Amino acid sequence: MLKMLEDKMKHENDKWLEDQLKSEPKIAEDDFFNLVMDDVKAIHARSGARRKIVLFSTYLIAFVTFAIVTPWQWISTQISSGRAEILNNFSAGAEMQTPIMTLSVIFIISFLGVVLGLEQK
Amino acid sequence: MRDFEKQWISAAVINKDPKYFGYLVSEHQIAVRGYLRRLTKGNEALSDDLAQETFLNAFRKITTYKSTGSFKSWLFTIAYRCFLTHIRKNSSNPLMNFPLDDFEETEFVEREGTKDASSQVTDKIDIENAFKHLKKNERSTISLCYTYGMSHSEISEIMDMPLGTVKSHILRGKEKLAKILNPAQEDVLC
Repeated sequence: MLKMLEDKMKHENDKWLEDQLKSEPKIAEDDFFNLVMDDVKAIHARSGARRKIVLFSTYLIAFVTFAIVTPWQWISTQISSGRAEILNNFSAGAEMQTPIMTLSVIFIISFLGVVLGLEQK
Repeated sequence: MRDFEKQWISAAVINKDPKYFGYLVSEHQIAVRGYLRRLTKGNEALSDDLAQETFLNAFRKITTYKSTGSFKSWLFTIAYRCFLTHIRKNSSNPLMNFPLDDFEETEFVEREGTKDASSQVTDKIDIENAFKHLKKNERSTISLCYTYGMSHSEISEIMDMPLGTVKSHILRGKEKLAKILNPAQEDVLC
């Protein structure tokens, strides 16, 4: 009988304690949210600026590599000979320099177009 | 986890948008601040600093959040780590009056007389004061378990400790709290 009473008391005490523990510490309404959000926005702006620098550097490196590595001479020769064949004109040697320049400009403009298009997205 | 919270998390993860992260902050700030308030033994300034650090870390690492667990428990994990980092950094600083293990062993003064159970305000103050006499792991496990409704396995993940250790911290903490809050109960517990 005494044991049952003790068990019951213990159970009641546990229940009371668990009920008490459910209450959260009182947190006052203050400027905490705004402080956090100011910092979050600052971090966001910083990471945005960093991302832009990284992207710009990547594009610059890609552009330089593209300009150096592209076999302009070969492309120009191929196109010139193809054109000569079509036009049946075998004296295209003198016109070689013009297609190289034109091709470079066309390729560079298309490259920049692709890059700017991607950046817009 | 509620549906709108999932959407906020997705938007915050994909776009890293501060607006959606703001919704998450306003949803969880009370819980995180409350948990840290308990851990720091009621030190408001310190707990708010740690809570701020918690949310900033969460924003920086939001892409690492795995949707398998609840967002709240992920935040609590960061909060607990911030707290541990803080006490490790300041453990050798004599100017910091902060819970070191020696300090945690401080014996509480058992109150004389009876407790006014009818006053909820008194109970609440008593609870917060009683928490100050627990060790940091006991404060953490009990708060997470009873106040914030985390399961034992979630607590084990948050605090990065074995399940058995979590259970024993909860048990010991509860016994201490029972002793502090209701000295008459001591006879029953022993």
